[in-house]
Amino acid sequence: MSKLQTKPDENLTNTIEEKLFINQFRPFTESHIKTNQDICNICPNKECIKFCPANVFAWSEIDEKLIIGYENCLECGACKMGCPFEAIEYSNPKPGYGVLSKK
Amino acid sequence: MAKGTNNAEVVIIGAGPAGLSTARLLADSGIKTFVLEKSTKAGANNFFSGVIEKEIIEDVFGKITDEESEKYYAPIERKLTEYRAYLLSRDSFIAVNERKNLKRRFIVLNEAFNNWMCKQAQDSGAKVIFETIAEELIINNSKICGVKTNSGDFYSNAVVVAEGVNSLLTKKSGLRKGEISPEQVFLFAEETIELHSDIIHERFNINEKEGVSIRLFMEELVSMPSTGYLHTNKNSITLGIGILFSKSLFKGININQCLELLKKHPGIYPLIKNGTTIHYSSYILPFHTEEKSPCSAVKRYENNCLVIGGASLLVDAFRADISSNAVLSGKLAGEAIIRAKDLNDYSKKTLSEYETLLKKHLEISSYKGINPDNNSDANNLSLFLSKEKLE
Repeated sequence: MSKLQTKPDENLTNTIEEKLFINQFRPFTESHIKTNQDICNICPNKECIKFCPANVFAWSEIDEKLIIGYENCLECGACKMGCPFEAIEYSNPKPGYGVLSKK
Repeated sequence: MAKGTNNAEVVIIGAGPAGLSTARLLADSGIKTFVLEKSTKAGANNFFSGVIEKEIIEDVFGKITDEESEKYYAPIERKLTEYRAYLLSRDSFIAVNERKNLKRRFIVLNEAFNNWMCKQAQDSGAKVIFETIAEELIINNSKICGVKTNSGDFYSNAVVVAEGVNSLLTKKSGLRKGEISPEQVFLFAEETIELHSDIIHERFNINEKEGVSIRLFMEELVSMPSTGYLHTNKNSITLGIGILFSKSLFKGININQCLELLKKHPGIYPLIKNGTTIHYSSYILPFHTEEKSPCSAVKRYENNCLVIGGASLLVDAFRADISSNAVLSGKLAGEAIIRAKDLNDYSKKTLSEYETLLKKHLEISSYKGINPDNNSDANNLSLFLSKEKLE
């Protein structure tokens, strides 16, 4: 499909990490997203890790728990709808914190 | 009403297109209005696509352009002079263009335009209070009489909930039954890609006074119900894609994968080539079909309370001018409240006027094309062509 594109375009981003790097965030010291770890531990598919547009969720093999990188959250609210076990509690970031405006 | 300095006749939660429309209308009628905004400035985190409908905006916020001199009073990026529809398959695409020099629609950057709407509401006398999160509704004797926030309690005769689609308070306070389901929404990702205006003019065959908006149909490309858009700004291009959230969950596909697929498509890549990504965002929008609409779960009017805009789920993922329904619902809520004030009666019965007005004025499109089991690009395209005619 990308046959026409011979080399990658340098200034166009590709990965979520690259894109998040462009945005400005002002994270609060405490996460505005909370999960029920008991449920996360036994959740078979861990959908949140796949669908989150900001890669907020990751599974730590060492700690055997779900890590929440709330610092990069784009505040779309998909996580609370997408978790099949309603184990994600999303609240608004503290006023003045979170993803900042475009410029 | 309880005593205190935090008293207004009406408190509005959220300084987006909907809340600011109500605020502007009420303030113009001399009603003491507060708007509570969680961000440090208006529209810091809102999304209403880049296209606005002049008539709807001007009706509430005043002139945005002067037709004779083509002078802009609001932060407009470009006049929309050309619609395109691209039907994207895996390695080819079909394009339909409609070009006409009309003055009805304009391309804006959400944040700048939202700030302008905020200023217009403030000029009318509405007080916008930033960095203030509505935590819960204050209920006394089963009557909504104010809002509890991080910066104190606000009391009012009526509360207007305009917190957007990601509506936490609406759910918490029981104004919406249950969580929004992934079958009812599209999950969007959007990138703003910076490009020199000369390059934009060359690639799109336009001049500095003209603008293009492209609606993208790409079910075959991403293999699920989807929608996309591309707008030409002055010095950048906005590219966005939305996919049926339930389907992406089922398939375990991230929205960014779809956006990347789109960016590398032979129909899109030549338009954004050598550009620089300057912003990335993500949001959720509901859609409506003939059989089902998520807004049926929302109580849009209650005693002393109205729910408008994104929070009412009346906005529509498939409209190019997403803000139109928000502004309209905000305006109609304002009219209903002005009437309630005249009668000195903010009961559910009087405020139901809002619902009557909505049914009369608000157009909610119904898309038969959204069938998760059916590849419906052609269907959507024909609907688009019949709806989005410039005149």
